[in-house]
Amino acid sequence: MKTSMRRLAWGLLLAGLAACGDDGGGGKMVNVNPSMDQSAIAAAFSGATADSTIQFAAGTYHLTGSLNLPVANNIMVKGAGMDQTILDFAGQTTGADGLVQTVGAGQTIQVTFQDLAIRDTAGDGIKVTGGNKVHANRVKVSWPTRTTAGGYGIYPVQSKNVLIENCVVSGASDTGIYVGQSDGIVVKNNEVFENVAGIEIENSFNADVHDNNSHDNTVGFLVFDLPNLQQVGGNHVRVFNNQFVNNNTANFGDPAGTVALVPAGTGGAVMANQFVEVFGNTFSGNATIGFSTISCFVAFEQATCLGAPTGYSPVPGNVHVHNNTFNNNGTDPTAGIGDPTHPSAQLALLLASGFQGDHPWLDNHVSDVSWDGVIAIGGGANPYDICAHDNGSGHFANLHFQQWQAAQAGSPTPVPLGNFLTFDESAFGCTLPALPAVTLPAF
Amino acid sequence: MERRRRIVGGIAVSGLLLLGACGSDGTCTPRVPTDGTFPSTLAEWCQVELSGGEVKALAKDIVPFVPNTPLYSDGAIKRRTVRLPPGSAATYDAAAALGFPDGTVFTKSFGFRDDARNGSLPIRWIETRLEWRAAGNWHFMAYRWNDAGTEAAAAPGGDVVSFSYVDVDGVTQHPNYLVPSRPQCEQCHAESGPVGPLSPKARWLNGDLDYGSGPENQLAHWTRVGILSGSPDPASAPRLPDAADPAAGTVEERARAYLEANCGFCHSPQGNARVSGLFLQASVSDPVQFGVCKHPVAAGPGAGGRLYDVVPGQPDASIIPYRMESTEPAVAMPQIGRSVVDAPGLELVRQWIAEMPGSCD
Repeated sequence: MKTSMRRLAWGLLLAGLAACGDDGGGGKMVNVNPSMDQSAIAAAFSGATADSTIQFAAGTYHLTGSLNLPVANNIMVKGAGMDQTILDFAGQTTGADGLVQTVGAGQTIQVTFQDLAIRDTAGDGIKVTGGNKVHANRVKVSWPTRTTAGGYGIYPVQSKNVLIENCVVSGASDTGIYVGQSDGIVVKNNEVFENVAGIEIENSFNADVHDNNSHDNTVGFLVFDLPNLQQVGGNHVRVFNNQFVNNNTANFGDPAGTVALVPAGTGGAVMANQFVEVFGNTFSGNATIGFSTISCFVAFEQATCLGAPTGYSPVPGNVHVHNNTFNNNGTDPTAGIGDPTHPSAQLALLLASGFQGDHPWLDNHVSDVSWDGVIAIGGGANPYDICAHDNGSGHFANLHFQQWQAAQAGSPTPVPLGNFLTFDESAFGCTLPALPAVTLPAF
Repeated sequence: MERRRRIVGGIAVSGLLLLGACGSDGTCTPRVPTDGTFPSTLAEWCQVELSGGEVKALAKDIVPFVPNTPLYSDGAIKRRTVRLPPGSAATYDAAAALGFPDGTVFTKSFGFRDDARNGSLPIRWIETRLEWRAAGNWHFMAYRWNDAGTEAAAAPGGDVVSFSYVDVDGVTQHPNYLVPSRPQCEQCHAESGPVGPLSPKARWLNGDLDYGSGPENQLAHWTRVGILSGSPDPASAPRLPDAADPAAGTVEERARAYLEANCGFCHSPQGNARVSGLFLQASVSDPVQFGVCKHPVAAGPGAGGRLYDVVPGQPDASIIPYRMESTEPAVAMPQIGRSVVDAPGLELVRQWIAEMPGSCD
């Protein structure tokens, strides 16, 4: 057997352990410095216990595998600043993700990531499963060299009380900041750019997304509810005072992923969520559409949307879009189509076909606010309380996707969406009660 | 008659007083740290050592075992042992892992032959992993063998060992073999939520092992030697087949067993891949839950552009085989611990999908 093994560096390991001390808050301080290799750093992580701080000195760390945190409560991973401490995973050969904290069901665990940068992970940058009080503050995640890799930048899932603030995420082939199947979420003061989706709240309850700058992604933000997950029925999400600007990057997501369906040039979208309030945002320069509310049926086949577990609603409801600023959106849905075979091209072309037909888009641009018009059960003009008002010059459009789909299914040639669009806002000017603010416990 | 133990590395000082005591006659008494610390060398555990190129138990009450279908680990040869405190027994459970008392210690040793086709070649042992229970909690540590096989040192941060060997099909493989860090042990050992043993379950132990006097059912043996209580007759206990043995079950039964052994510890409703909604334990009966026409959720580039985890009749359109046949970190499953494709396992899963009736249209 030929061996070229990298041995456990005992000296470095012992140096790392010897550097342990009190962090001033009662927990252990575990020091990591750039002279330590993967095994030594992983050993330092292994030695962290409840309330420990893992302190990375300034410098660039060339890591070859995921760094897993031990199952211990309230560990902080801290650097010297998001431009000073750089965890570079370009040489990663084991594990998909960068920093990983994960606990099995029925337990919760507090964790903090602060003042560091993560680069070029094969998969997600930071992944936390099963957290309670998950805090990312001043963390930068990017993919400067792995251009088609990387899933999510910062990815808490099945967690309670999530706070992501002052972070910068770019280049994620799925979503920059993604919170899934969680409850109690604040995402604020972050900059996300050149990701497929900038920010996504998925299958989650009680989220505030505010004061973020989400620009030059494929889509600025998504509030989605997907079927066939342990937590479904996403509700109570507020998206306010954000900038969603020039999100026109061609969709480079894996064609099988849900975000791969979203056309470039989308300011934001809500799918199948209940109680969403979108207000005070600026949607500007998104070439396909400013904001859209859609059902599961636009993304997936009927069997998937209707066969979902109890509690899943394939259609959205109580979506309140008001007092936003829209300008220069929807000018050309085809502008951001990169690869014409990419799934995202389909919806882009469909929206572009709204310029043709019997009821084309008004003012030569795609309506700033739209609803897909899919009615699964019930009836009437607006059975699910989709409400839009005080959005400046933005028009509201009902896409009548169901009718278009039926017509298309019976036609050998493309049927323009413009045959079905309606712009009567009278049923949609409703006002809904303001949703409550999310209050997180002290971290 | 104790002699002084060597203390290597200077770690875990507080645990040493509780550790295995070596006698002058070469025997020793296993002891288990109770405070979450770990001895710095494997020898201090008094569980196993290498002798004549094989893993040898150091006490008479250390019991070897083999699950009917093992986890694939780059093709490693494995040896497993369990030792319970004298006079204690595990409690039977038909579904979950057996209930082990405090003081229980498992060992699992991993090694390779240069040519897996030649059983006369020596096994190069890479590591021995320890899992033990103290104060109601399970703890983990990997011990890395030196080249001579004379000493194994704790490797809390793990290691990656790159080498080459010829597999059973004559193919030269080049694993980047992962010795897991302690937190990486915890990542996989969370099948039922809290960390704990994976394979010591009735359905995996319900099979024969030769303890030196002919084959004996492992549940029956454990009962007979007193380390298991409450077990029914093996014929009445659940059983999953050896996925590698075509005579052991149908293709579907063996493929589902393979997926449980290799994926189910994370892809369970309480495990760390629960967020995917894909559950690969053999008992899962809802086809969507075990992947049939199920869209990926957070697979990112791991989906390879394929729309569903399993497309009946179409292994080449299904995500599960795509991830099994990859060694790319962002794609490969399991996410850690496999850097070589398990060709027979892949072929079994592909055959299961190919023979599956239906479609996703």
